[in-house]
Amino acid sequence: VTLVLDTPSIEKLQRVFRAAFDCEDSRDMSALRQVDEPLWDSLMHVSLVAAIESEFDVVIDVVDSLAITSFESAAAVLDQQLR
Amino acid sequence: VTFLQAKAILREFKGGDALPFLLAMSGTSAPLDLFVRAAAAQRQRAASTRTLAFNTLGQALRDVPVAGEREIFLLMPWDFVREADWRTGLPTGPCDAQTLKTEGQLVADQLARRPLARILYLPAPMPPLLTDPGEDIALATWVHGLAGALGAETLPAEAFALGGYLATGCPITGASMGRVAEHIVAAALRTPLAGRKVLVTDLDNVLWSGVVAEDGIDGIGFRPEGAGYRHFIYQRFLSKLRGEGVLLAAVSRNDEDIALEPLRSGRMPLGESDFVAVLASYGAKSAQIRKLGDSLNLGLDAFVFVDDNKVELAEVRSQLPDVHSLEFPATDAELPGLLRELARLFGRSVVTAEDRERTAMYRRRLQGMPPSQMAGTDLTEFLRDLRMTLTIHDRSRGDRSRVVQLINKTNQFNLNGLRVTDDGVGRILDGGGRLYGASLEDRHGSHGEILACLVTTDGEIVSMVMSCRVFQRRVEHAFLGWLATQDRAPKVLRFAATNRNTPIQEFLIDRAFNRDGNGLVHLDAAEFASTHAADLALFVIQSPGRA
Repeated sequence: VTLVLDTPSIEKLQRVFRAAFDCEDSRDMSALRQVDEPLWDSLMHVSLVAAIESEFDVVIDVVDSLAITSFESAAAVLDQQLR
Repeated sequence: VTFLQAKAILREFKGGDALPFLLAMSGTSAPLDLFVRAAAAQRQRAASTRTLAFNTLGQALRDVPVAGEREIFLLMPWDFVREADWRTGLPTGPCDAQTLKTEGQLVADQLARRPLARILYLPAPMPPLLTDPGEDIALATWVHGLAGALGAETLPAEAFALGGYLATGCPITGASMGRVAEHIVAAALRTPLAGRKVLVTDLDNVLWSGVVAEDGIDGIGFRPEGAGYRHFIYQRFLSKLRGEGVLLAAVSRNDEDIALEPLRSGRMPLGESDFVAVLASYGAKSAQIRKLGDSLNLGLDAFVFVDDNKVELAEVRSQLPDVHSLEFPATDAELPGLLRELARLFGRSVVTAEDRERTAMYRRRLQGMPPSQMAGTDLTEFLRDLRMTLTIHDRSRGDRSRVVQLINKTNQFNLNGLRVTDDGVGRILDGGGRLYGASLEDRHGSHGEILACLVTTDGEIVSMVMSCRVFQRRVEHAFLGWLATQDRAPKVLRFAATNRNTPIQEFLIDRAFNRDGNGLVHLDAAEFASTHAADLALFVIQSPGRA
């Protein structure tokens, strides 16, 4: 799948992930995966989805919410939403 | 405020006064916390919320509130009717509307008993539960109304998204969290209506049906039957509140002995000793309530005032904005709403022995408190807004039974208390006299024929009466102001004091009147018309032409 999400949106998603996981500003989040991140539990997932919805003014459905298991998949869901 | 903005606000926030409260909702509120803290930080407050474990709202409502804890309930339709919760998968069989409403009412009753609760209602779509789709729509409206009756603030429906709710259990969309958090913090900061201590009630047409000064104690209704039924229920409810420590006071436009007669009769659920004070006078009700507050050493925000008269309510609201004023309903259907609101305002979780003794204690403190005769606020703007039309009828010809009846049944605003016969009126009219009636309408509806005036051919007003239903609206001034500008304007009024006609005695204090000591009050028609031109201007006058 070729992502059409523009660079500012990718940057903003990076900031959302950093803020959600309380990471420093310089950290690249693009490789983050739920299976590798101990802080990414079910509660964090709810907050992360709410954060993405809030920042991009979108509503994420059940299937898409479950599909968000990494930064990359979040970008893909957002890409679909913003098309 | 978006997620990143909320984070930035909290990073910059240096701290402020604590704002602790319970944020109660049936889904998860975890993602809201950040937005709530940011919204509070923008007001220099440090929010700290206690939240409920997932899906324990029902249990929390049955629990006793934590003493002094402010509570914000963020409710969905399924918090009233649990069958409507999308996450339960919905009932497979049809439901019964009445059963669902009973369930919803039970939840509403539990909420009404929580004195520090603030309710936000999100009108999320309800699934079809009933066989008839129309009934489903009616049920959703009913649930929304139930929340409204509890004083709930309605949130925008788009703050809910089914997808998010099913996925995460949080009913609020991420895009709406900033806005919803604003509502939550505003509600938490608002002074709660609850915590009221004194219920001041009007008497006529509130504590009983009818007007005791007009109808007498045998003509008013307070028994569980007919017109008195809902007044009986209201009295029983007040009696319950009194037992829970609420102080009851009565304020009435009446003479004291007349106002007290029903309360001393022993026939009603409430008696004189149930009230800390019965204030009967013709002074402004706001002045009476203010004085009562001073005497009880209680702030006006501890008071709730119940009256059926929109003018009295407007006067108190305008003069005493801290007093929570409620209208006694005109229909039976609205009575539960009033009682629920009172239950909420006076709700308390624990009733102590001291609560039960409070009335007697304050009665001792107030013994001998005289009523205040202070004037109230200027109601001109309010009266103008009522858009009143006074229709004056020449009843000298044709059917005059209603005005004759009005003369014979009115006590308070009655020039001399004299009763008349139809024949007697006929003789005055045959001799060239005139008989007027007047009916009043305002933007709320018609008040019917409320004034009668009989004038002899010599210009002597021998009867003038007005219904107490329209006191304080300047009707009497407008009518006489109109009459004073007609041909053959009256010159004198045949006055006699009775033990009930204080209102007309006060009316006759006007400088255009001059008593001669022989029962005649001379009227300077030009002076009266000029002094009361502004009163006349409050009305659209529809008259039969020049008299």
